[in-house]
Amino acid sequence: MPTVPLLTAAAETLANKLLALDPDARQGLKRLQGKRLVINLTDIKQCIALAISEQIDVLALDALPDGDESTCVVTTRLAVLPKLKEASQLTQLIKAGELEVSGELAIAQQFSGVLNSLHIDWEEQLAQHTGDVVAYHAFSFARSVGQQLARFGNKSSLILGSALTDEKQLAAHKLAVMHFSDEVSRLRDDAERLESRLSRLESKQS
Amino acid sequence: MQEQQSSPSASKQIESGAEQSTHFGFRQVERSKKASLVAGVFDSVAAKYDMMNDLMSMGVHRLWKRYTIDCSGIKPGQKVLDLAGGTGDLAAKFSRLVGTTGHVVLADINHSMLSVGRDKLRDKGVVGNVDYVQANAEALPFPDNHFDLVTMAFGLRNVTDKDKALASIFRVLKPGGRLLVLEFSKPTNEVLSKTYDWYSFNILPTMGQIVANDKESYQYLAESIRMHPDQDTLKSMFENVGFERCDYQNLTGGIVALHRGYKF
Repeated sequence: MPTVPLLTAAAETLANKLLALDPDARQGLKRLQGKRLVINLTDIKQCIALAISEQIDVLALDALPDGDESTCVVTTRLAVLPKLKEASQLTQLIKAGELEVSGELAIAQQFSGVLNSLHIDWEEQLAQHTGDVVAYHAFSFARSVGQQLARFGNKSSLILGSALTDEKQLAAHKLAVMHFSDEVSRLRDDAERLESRLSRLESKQS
Repeated sequence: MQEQQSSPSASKQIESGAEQSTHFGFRQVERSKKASLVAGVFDSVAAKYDMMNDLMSMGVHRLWKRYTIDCSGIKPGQKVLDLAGGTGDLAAKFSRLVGTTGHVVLADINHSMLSVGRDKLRDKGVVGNVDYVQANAEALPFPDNHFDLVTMAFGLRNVTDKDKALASIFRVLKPGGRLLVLEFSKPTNEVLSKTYDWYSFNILPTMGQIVANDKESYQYLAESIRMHPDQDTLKSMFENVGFERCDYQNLTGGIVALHRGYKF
């Protein structure tokens, strides 16, 4: 089974489903109609094009196209991709050599803006299928479970920390680690001072 | 009509020697009758074509077609001919990719298939840059050097004179344009080949009978695949009509192959 088309098909379906849930993002995408954002991932040797029309078509290209006024070609690594979501970081990434851009940079910036503005009201989406009351209660319940899980997590980590540091004494307390670090720093400073004093005395002797 | 089984090479001899008969599945028929017999098959399957494709290939035909589009190198503003385009799977995507400044022609020799394709695309809102033309691949009604890309997915094996069709495609392509032919081919693995044969001759016709109430058409499908030239033969047919930088890519172990050739 062709794996790459399977992955691009999944990515395309997901992207278009998400965009369909946010009318504002879809409106933002209209400004990019007819444009292409090509992402050349050097570490996995894969070139992916996002062709924007009334929807996004994801293509796995077999050759890297040239950048022009309707195409922006971004060459980067897979690990850098999440950082591209922040349009403000693009210039920094280019300066740091993490990113090469040819063609129209505004396409990448606008696309990044669309991604950032993507806001899906999941409660409203559920309400369309179940009605407002069920959706409200379902989300209230999920929120309350989430808060309880977070509280339980915090409490568990405090109890575990206390057991490890105070009762079983298997790990040092945070304050003890900080104190130890300070002592090590002080010792290093003293050693450096002594070393420079010794070298000064040696130079006087000779 | 003489009923017999023959290999692709044997049928080629019959085609080139007598110039009278050709294969229709495993049967030998008069050349002049093949087009109408193929038309009969597609008239019969048109309404359930998409559903049967999904069932028969378990949806993988969509991935083969995606791969074809990935290899097309198509750009906004270009002209595409989707030949034997059937129900318009490729044309719908090409329409978006070439944009409002580009143009897509969905061509098929079969009126029923073309009608299904046109209705499907219009229902999807694909309008404006797509035209529908009933055309025979052997004598394309388009000017010379007109298209940037010609695609033919699962259509070439039904054409009576494949060399003539390839020459006709070559004529309508612009210099620098490319032809992509996605077609059933020969599995490269012996075990896969045997399994595939068993599936084609036992499951496919039964599936056709149950879903589309048409066993014969799906029996023809299985037979026509076996009669189609293998990967290397088709590549040399590309080269013989003038295509350059020809290559092919086996998909799903060679069950399907994507052939590519350029006109320079």
